[in-house]
Amino acid sequence: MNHSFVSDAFQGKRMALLKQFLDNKVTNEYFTKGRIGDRILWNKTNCLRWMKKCKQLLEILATACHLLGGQPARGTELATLRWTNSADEQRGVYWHNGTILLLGQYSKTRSHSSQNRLIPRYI
Amino acid sequence: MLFSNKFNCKGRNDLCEFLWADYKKGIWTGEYLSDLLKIHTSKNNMRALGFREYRQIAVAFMEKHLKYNIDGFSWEGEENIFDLQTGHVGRTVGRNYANAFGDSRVVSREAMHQYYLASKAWYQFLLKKDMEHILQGKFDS
Repeated sequence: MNHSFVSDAFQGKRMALLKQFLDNKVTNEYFTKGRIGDRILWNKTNCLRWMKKCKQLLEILATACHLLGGQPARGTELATLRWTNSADEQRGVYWHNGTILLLGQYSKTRSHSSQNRLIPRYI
Repeated sequence: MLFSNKFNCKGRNDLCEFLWADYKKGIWTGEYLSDLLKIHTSKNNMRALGFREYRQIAVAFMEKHLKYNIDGFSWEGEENIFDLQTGHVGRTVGRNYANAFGDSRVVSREAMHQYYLASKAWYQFLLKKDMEHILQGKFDS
């Protein structure tokens, strides 16, 4: 459970981006207000601004994936994609053939057949 | 994810599991994703296309430019990979997607294409025979 292609590729480096942010003077000043001992005082406004930017980037990526992955998926098929394994369903994001593979696991007839139709889309 | 956990954002749990999710609302619905496509298509001087409309158009593009032009790898048994990637068998795609004014209601587009190939095969066969006779005649004389 909770395994994804990121788990292998970034083993032991999960906090690498955060470390970079805190090591860099400019980003450190943007994301934090200072420290009390080991405790970081986060600048909530700027952190939220960053998350909003991440959301905007993800919106562009979602559209690009939809257009570039081959024959386009249904909305529900795309919406239910997991990037990590869960108790309910296997993930739909893999690293394959040197590129990212989105594996659609939705089928309109799933409720009747109890089977998912697997539809790979390379991006 | 770290920030959304730290600030107790509503979408934090979905962010840890779903690919298309954000810190505020969590997992994005199909409708939300479709609206994103509408926004991006209209921003780029096109008619606003949602997922449903774009699937129709993509099938039309695929049939005109890709399906019959790519040899070898585009067939999986009797089904075409492009149709399967749409999430349907070819019969459903032919019946429900990208129907044009001139399409037959009785014979599917797929069957029409196969008939076209059959006719073309005969044409080429006869033309080849014809050419052989002409060439043979030339050599005989």
